Formats: sequence, C-alpha cells, structure tokens
Amino acid sequence: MSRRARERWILAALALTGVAAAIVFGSELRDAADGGVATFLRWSVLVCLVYFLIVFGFYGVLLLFAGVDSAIRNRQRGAEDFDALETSRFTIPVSILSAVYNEEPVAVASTRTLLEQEYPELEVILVDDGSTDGTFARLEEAFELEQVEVFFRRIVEAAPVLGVYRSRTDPRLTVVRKPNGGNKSDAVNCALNFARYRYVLGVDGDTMYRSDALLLGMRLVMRNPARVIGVTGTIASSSRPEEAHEQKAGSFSLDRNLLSSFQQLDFMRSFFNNRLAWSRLNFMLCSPGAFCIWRRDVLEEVGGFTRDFTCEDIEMTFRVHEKFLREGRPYEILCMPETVATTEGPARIGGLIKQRARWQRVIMETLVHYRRMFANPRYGTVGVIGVPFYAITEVIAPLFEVLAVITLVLAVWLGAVSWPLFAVMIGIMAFSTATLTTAAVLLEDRTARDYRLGSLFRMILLGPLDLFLYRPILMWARARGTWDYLRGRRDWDKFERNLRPTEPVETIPSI
Amino acid sequence: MRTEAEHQRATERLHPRPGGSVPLWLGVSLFVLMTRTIYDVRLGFVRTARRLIERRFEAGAGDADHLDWILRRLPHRTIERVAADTATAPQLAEAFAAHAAERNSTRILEAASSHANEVTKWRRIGALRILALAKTPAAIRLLEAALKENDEDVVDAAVVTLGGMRDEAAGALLVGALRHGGGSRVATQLDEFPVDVGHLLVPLLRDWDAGARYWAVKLLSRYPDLPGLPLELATLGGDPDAGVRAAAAETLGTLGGPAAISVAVHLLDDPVPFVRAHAARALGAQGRPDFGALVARLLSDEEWWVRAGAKQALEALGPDATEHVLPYLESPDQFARNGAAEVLQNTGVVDAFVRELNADPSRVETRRTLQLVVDAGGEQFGEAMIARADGGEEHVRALLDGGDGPRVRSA
Repeated sequence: MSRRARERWILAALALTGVAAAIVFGSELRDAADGGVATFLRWSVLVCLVYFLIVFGFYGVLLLFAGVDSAIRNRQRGAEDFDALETSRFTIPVSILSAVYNEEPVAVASTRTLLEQEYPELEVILVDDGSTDGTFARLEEAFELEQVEVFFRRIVEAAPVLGVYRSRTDPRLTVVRKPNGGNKSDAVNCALNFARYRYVLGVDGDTMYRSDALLLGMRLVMRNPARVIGVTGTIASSSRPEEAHEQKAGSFSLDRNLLSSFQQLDFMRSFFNNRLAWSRLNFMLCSPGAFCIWRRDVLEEVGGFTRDFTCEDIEMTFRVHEKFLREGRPYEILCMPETVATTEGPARIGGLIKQRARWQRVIMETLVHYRRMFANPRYGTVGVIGVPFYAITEVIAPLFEVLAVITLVLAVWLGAVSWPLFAVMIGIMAFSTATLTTAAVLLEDRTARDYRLGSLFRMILLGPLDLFLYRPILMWARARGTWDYLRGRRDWDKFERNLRPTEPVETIPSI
Repeated sequence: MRTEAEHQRATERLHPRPGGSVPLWLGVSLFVLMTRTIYDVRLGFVRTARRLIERRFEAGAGDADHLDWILRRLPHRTIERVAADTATAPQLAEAFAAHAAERNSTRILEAASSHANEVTKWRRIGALRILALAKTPAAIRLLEAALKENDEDVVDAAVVTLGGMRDEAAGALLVGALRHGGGSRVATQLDEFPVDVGHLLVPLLRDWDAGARYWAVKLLSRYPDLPGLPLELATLGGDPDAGVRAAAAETLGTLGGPAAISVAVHLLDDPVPFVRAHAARALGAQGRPDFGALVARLLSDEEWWVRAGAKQALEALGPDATEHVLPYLESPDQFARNGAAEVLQNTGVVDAFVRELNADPSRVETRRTLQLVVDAGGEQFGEAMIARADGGEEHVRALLDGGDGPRVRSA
C-alpha cells in the first residue's frame, strides 16, 4: 500500500472513530456540556477572537503604511521622465529570465509581451523546462527559432542544457531546452547562467506583462542603484490573462468567472494592502516569481535559486534578507504600486486548492528554515515584524481556522449557539474583510484608474461575500498545505491550465 | 448581589455589535465610488480641453472661449496636477501651466521656493514644473536652488524639469549637476538635450571628481565635431579611474580615428577586466578586419566579460576577420577554441562552410576547417550545425561521425 493510500485509510478510520464516539457517547457529552466542553467553548471563542483582533490589527496598521507608500510612489511616477528613460542609452540593460513548463496556450503570447517591453536594451532567456506538450513547437513556429551553440558561464548549478535556439525574427530572444528539473528554480538557474546583463528580471511563462512593466521597475533601481537590489510589482490575476491583457487602462472589467474575481480581489489585498507596506518598512517578504528584478551579482553571491524548497521565490527573498542583514550591508527590496502583469489564476476550485496549498507549504518550509530570524532584532524589521507577521497570519492560521470550525460544530451540536450573537460576529468579520478589500480597491484605483466604475462597484459588492464564498476554499487549501508540509511533500502541484478555444498543435516527445 | 436586569445589561455590554464594521465599509466604498466619479468627470473636461488645444495647434485657430470656460470649471488643484504631471501631453501641460501661473502666480511661486514636509514637497515639485512650463523668469533660479536640496525627489524633479526646458541656462545647470553626483539621471537628460552643451562638458574632463569626468566622456560622444576632442579624450586613456578609462575607450571607439585606435590598443592590456572589454569593443567598432588579430587574443582572457567583449568585437568585424579567428580553433586554451567557434557561427562563416561542403563534399580544406570548428565547439555545436544545414544534414553528419575532439561546453 502506498504512503498516500495509507494516510487516507488512517484519516478515514479516525473519522469513523469520531462518528462512532459521538453516537455512543453523545448523550454523556451533552450532559457534560455545562462542564468541560462549555469551558472549552468559552476559551476557544476567546482565543479565536483575540487571534482575529491581532490579525486585523496587523492588517490595519499595514494598510496605513501601504497608503503612504502608494501616495509617495504615485507622486514620484508623476514627476518621472519616462520618455527619456525609455530611449536613453544610460538606462541599465536587463536580462529577462522566463521559465516555461507545459504552457502551450500562453507561452507565445507571454513571450511576446516580454519582447514588446518599452525598454532600450534587454534580452529574453526563455528556458523550456522539459515541456511535454506543444510549448516548444509553438515557440519555434512563432519566433522562427534556429538551433545555435552559445557558450555560457556555469555560475549556478542547473541541469545540463539540451539545446540552445535563437530567434531569427528577434535576436534578443534565446530559448534553452533542458530536461525537467522538478521545480522552477532549476530552470531559472539555467537562465541565469545565460544572462549577460547586470540586472535580471525573473518572470513566469504563464503571465502577460504590460509594456511599461520593466521600465517602471528599473526606474526604482536607477534612483539608487547602490542600494536597491530587488524590485517587485503588483500582479493581477485572471482566468484568461491573454484576454485581460488586451483591455485598455480605464476600461478594465472584472473576470466573468466568480472564483477568478475573488482571486483578483485577493491579489489586490495582498499587493496593495500588504506588500506596499512591507516595501515601505523594508521587510519585503516575497519577491514573487512572476515579476522580480534582482541585481545579478546578489543572486550569484547567494548561489542561485535553491532546489531544496518547493518554490523558489520566497526562499530567495528570505535568503537575501538573511545574508545582507547578518553582514550589516545596506540594501532595499522594493515593491511598486503599479500593476505590471496579469497571471493565470485557476478557474476551478480544485486548481485553486492545489495552488494555495502549495503556497502554504512554501511559506511553512521557508519560515521553519529561517526560524532563527523570528523576533530577532539583529534582522531588523524583517525579524521583528515580517517573520512574526507571516507566522501569525499564515503559518498558524490553519490552526485557528480549524479551531473555529470545531468550536462552531460543537456549539451547534450542544445547542450552545446564540444565533443572533453568531450572526453579529460573522457580520463583523465579513464587513471587516470587506473594508480591507475596498481599501485595496481604493489604492488600486488611485494608482492606475484601470477599472471601470461599474467594475469597482462590483468589486466592492463582492467584498462581504468573500468570507462565505472564497475564504472556506482558502481555509481548506491552507489546512491541506499544512498537512502536506507535515508529510514532507515537495511536489510543484501545478494546476491544470484553464480551458481555452485553441488550435491543436502536434505534441512533441519529451526531451 | 446583582439583579436579573443588571446581569442582563452586563451580558449585553459584552456582546459585540455590528457597529463600526458596516458603516466603515460603507464609508470607504462610497469614498471610492465618489472620488472615481469626480475623477471621471474631470477627466472628461481635461480631454475636451486637450482636443481644443490640439485643434488650435493644428489649424492655427481654436475656440479659446470654450477652453477658458473649461479651465474655469476645473478646480485649481486639478489644473495644477494635470500641468505638473510628466505624462500629460506637452501642449496641454503648457496651456494648463500658463493658466495656473497666471491665476495663482504668488501662491505657486511661494510653493516652489521651499518645502516643510512631504505634502508641501510635492506641491513644490508641481509648482517648479508649472513655472518652467509657463516660462516664468523665476523658474531657473528656483530650479537651481532645488538642485542643491538634499531631498532626492526634489533634485530628480528639478533635473527632469530642466531637461525639458531646452535653453542653455538649463543645460548649464544640468552640466553643473554632474559635478555634484547627478549621475545617470542627469546624463539621461543631457543626452537628449536639444541645445549644444558640448563646450560646457569639455572642462569636466579635467574635473577632480571621477564621476564628473566619466559622464562628460560618455556624453561627449554626441559632439564628434568639437575641436581637439579626440586628443582630450585620449589623455583619459591613462586616467587613474578605471571607469573613466573604459568610457574613454568607448567614446573614442564611437568617434573613430587614430586616437581611438591607439587608446584602444593600449587598453587591451589594462589590468582591469571591464576596461579590456571596452577596448576590444572599441576596436571592433572601427570596422577594420585587420584588428581581428589584436582582439582575438582576448578570447582566452581569464575574465568572462573580456572574452564576451572580444566575441562581440569580432562579430562586429564580421566574416572579413575570419582569418584572424581560425587559428584560435586550435588554441591550447579551451575558452579560446569555444569562443572562436561561436564567433564563426554567429558571423555566418560556419553556415558558409556547410554550404561549401554541400556543394563539394570532397573538398579537403572545407572538411578540415569544419572538423576543427566542431571539435572546438563540442557536441551540441555539431547538432546546431545539422539543424541549420538546410538540406546538407547528411554531409554534416558524415563529417561529425568521422571526427573526434574535446566535448566541452563552457566559456
């Protein structure tokens, strides 16, 4: 019997035992309701309430800093001469590193958005990480790839290269084929070995980039190149990023898929309410793999992306913080308020659970690995605020979520629920979450004015529903991610791409 | 002892009320929708104003009364914001700035003079831009003062505003800013500056500050006709600062001439790697294939970026430099062999040899050269050759099957 099947049997047996115990001892437990269980319920409610207050307190304070950061960055943008930067020979060149694995529906469109960046000098290194679908065939056809040999430096460890291709239509594009390395870090390391320029931009092959994304990011680097070693931007989510990409500023609409709409709001909350504050307070906890500018020597110094973690982006950000703070070197990793890209979010609940469970696992892996930074003043705001924030709002969140559910079930079972009180509590939680969502919508709107008024209205109305329709899915995903972490899983768990009307392309064999 | 009613009241006090959260959500939501609606209305006015201005600009006539009517309906803060925003179309920004400067000149002048906090700082930045766009005489003096501030945002905004002013006084201020650590942001503006500032940059070549010398050298590549410039730059080939030496090689490479060649050749042996790389590229830019011999020896340089610079230079020299590259296919140095093979591939020489092989598979010289290229380039090089053989795959395969040699893949 496989390990997974064994675990399922154990879980089923535990559940059955629980049900049997409830049937057999139900009356006795009910009798004891005034005693132990009631005490447990009281304490449980109190603990959950305190946790809720701490989390919302954290979010509230961060929101204030995010507002300040957003306002300052928006002002700075209004005073910048982008036309000059876009054409200047003194604008720092950048190597864009893209990793694709079975991204047949979007790889070409995504790569085009990279080549269409309004930036004076760049190169795109795209690594096909052993795709088994028609990804490479599509790229080969679209960019007229021809095989060449390029001699590169082996600065960081990566799987051997199987072939290098250069585009006949755009010499800035180099495509590297390699066997699948199991996770993205191997592919990004491979791309890093080919990079020629001093700054690199890590991107995802399923994401569509706005044409000014790189310029907006590098603007922050060029303000202070000695200090700014990393920049990230705000990412939007959509069930079909290539369609969302076609929308014009000021006329963006919310995704038609409800689940995708909730994800869009979730991304907004995460980036506008949290990451801008992290950036302002200098504890950027995650430079997401979908858009992360790094100074190349920093990546080389820390040995490239590690393959020991499920996902590479959070771990890399923590590793850089840990090294620079331990060595007392001045640095900044910034987040800009401008939305730079739209990534594909799962349009099905199963896919979302897979994705979010992986994120939870990654956060836990990283935090446990860097536990020495927790509340450690030696690591500045990262140690004193950032790591505890992640620990409280992400790592132990499933514990309280499960506790809250158990408490509710027990209270209903014992008839101890005061329904009006319960409704009030749920209302407070729903509208508090909705307020945070609306604040994120406000920050987004003041930054970009991307969405139509009607879409803003719809976003605001979706806010209070988030707790009932979206949070339970995330709760389950986080619990599953925690369980996966405890089991020691390391799989990438890529969600299936959303369905699209697409022409079939001949599938090429795995290399 | 508490009565039942007191107990009830105490319990109620403990009960949470929906209280704050719903009104808070409603308030923030209304604020979002209202501010956006107001923004959209004002944007409509601004767009109409832009259309009117464009029409006036194109046809030489327009509805000035209508424009005035629109400007009177917009709050002064909106007009000032639109004028000060660098993303605003130039004609619109100028019209709005002129209106703002006329209507609130005292306040704008005062705002542009100094700032006390973050809010007044951004008002100052906006005011500086408005005054510059409105061509107010005080603008240049206020911008000069802004350049001397410690605040990065104020300095940056002053640099951008001066860059858009297109007169010699603004150019002189920007050149002066290079002396005070202005760096790439000032250089970006000067590089696009429409007024000739070359004569202002030349004295910076002898400045004590290496940063000022560096940027002056870089920017002077725009002024190839300045008398005596190549000689001035050539002296910087021996500058104590490596960045200045590299910049001198680069700029001289762009200008060309004997000074460029002598400096670049001298710097090929510079102890600092990136100077050698720049010198190689400068020689490559001369377009003289005979320099291939000088550059090709850097294919075995110990530093990666020098080898990369040498490859770039040889590729710039093109197929005509092949005779200088071919000997490196048999170099004892692995990097030199790899680099030579890559250069021959990227200049199309390998493809030409493959075509020759297809035309006459028995030609010994072609077979030998291709065998050397494959041995120098390694297994994947051969695969790339087959992929690009364009009908001659069979001959290339036969050649590869008969060959042996090192299988290395790094440079």
